[in-house]
Amino acid sequence: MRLVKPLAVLVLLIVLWWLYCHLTDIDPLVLPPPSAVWESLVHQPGLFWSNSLDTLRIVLIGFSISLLGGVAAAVLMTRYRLLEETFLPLAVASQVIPTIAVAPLLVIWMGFGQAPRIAVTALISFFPILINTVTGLKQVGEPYYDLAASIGASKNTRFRKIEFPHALPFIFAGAKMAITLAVIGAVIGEFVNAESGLGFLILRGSSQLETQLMLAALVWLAGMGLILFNLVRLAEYVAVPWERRR
Amino acid sequence: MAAITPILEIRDVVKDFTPKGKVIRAVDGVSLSLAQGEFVSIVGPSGCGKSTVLRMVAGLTGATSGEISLRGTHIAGPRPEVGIMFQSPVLLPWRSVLKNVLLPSETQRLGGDPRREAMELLEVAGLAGFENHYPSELSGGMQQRVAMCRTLLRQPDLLLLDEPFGALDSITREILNDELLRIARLRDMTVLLITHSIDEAVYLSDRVVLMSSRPGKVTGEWAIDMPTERSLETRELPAFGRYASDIRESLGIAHRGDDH
Repeated sequence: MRLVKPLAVLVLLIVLWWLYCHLTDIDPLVLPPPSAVWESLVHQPGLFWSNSLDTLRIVLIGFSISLLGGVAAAVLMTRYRLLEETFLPLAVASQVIPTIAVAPLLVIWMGFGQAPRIAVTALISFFPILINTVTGLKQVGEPYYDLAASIGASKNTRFRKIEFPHALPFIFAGAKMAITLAVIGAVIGEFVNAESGLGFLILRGSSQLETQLMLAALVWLAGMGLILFNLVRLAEYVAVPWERRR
Repeated sequence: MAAITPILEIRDVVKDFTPKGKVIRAVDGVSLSLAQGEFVSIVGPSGCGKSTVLRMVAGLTGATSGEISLRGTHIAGPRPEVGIMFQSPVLLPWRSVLKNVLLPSETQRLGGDPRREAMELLEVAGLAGFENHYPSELSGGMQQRVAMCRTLLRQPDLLLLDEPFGALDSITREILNDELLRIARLRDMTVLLITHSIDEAVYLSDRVVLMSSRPGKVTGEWAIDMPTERSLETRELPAFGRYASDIRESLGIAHRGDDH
């Protein structure tokens, strides 16, 4: 099984972690042993569950917005040169601004509540989808346009039957990046505007000097990220069968 | 011999391209007529404008001046009676072979039963059993056969071919040459073929036309007088060799004639 090697390394790391705690005098506040983290996980499953769902909700809404928005923007930009020339450089430039710096500003503008957290998530995951979709649409190539013209296809038909399917593998590549970024974005949103969620738990663990809580929340975050990423991969497997056959 | 009305008329066609303000004359007054059922090849050095001529006949670009008409009607854009095949198969990788062949039936209304027609075409092309395969699973030659079936789905009268076999090995090329000829004769199609291979041109055609390098003009025409039945023996005939070397010689002159 493919998972054996990564799992083996993981187990090894945990063993080393345990050994380090056991053999040195490290303060449990700085690095709690694996058992403490395990306790935290096992004793309060409800706490992690409900906070995970809160984070998950933000991730999914933000990701959906960036997916739909990114694809729509890419389609418009490919269709209308003027839009591309005007807005694509702006989109690229906006990536230079660290989202974590924008997050507090969004709280000021959008108030407390879910909105700024969703906005941060959507913003951070928008760009990979946009740029990948644009690339995919532009890669179609002259011979396909000739083919479309020779069989009398209208621009819309050409888009539906040739350009969009061609871009699908690219969209999924962007989506895989975007979903992982969305998780990061949701946590950044929670750091800045803490009400609930796994990011909120990390902050609480920090302020209450419960490092094991922080680590436990990280475990849940990692799990969530992995599951979401693989769900996108699964969707790709189903929707883009032709790339598989290579 | 009674006068044969041309099905395709290309008259004094000129094509200029204007990249960044400069004017580049790709085609400089080309005239050519094709009669119903004729198989004509255009050969010439790279960049001589032969592909441009084909694209104009296909309605993919317009002529700067001159006239191209099919059965008397001016060609202003792509037409269902005109089918075109390119050097690369341009198949859609996400569709099966059958769905690729059926593509023209989705963009224009075709009479009859396109699906049955597609299956028949695939069988004639030797691809029976491959309907549900994907292009990536086929060899280059097979992909071009699928492209050929797709082009033939609309039953065009005029078939335009832009070096369709250029990317294939010579064995596959010769096999597909024969298939093309067979299908063209079966359906009484008029064919205009662009090729770099003089042997291919002589083998397949009733007439071979030579174009000079840019700006392209017709500098030679050969009526190929050989038995209609083309086969391996055809390539051994002394006449074949004579035509081929004649054209090759003229091509050398046409090629040297450019000063780029």
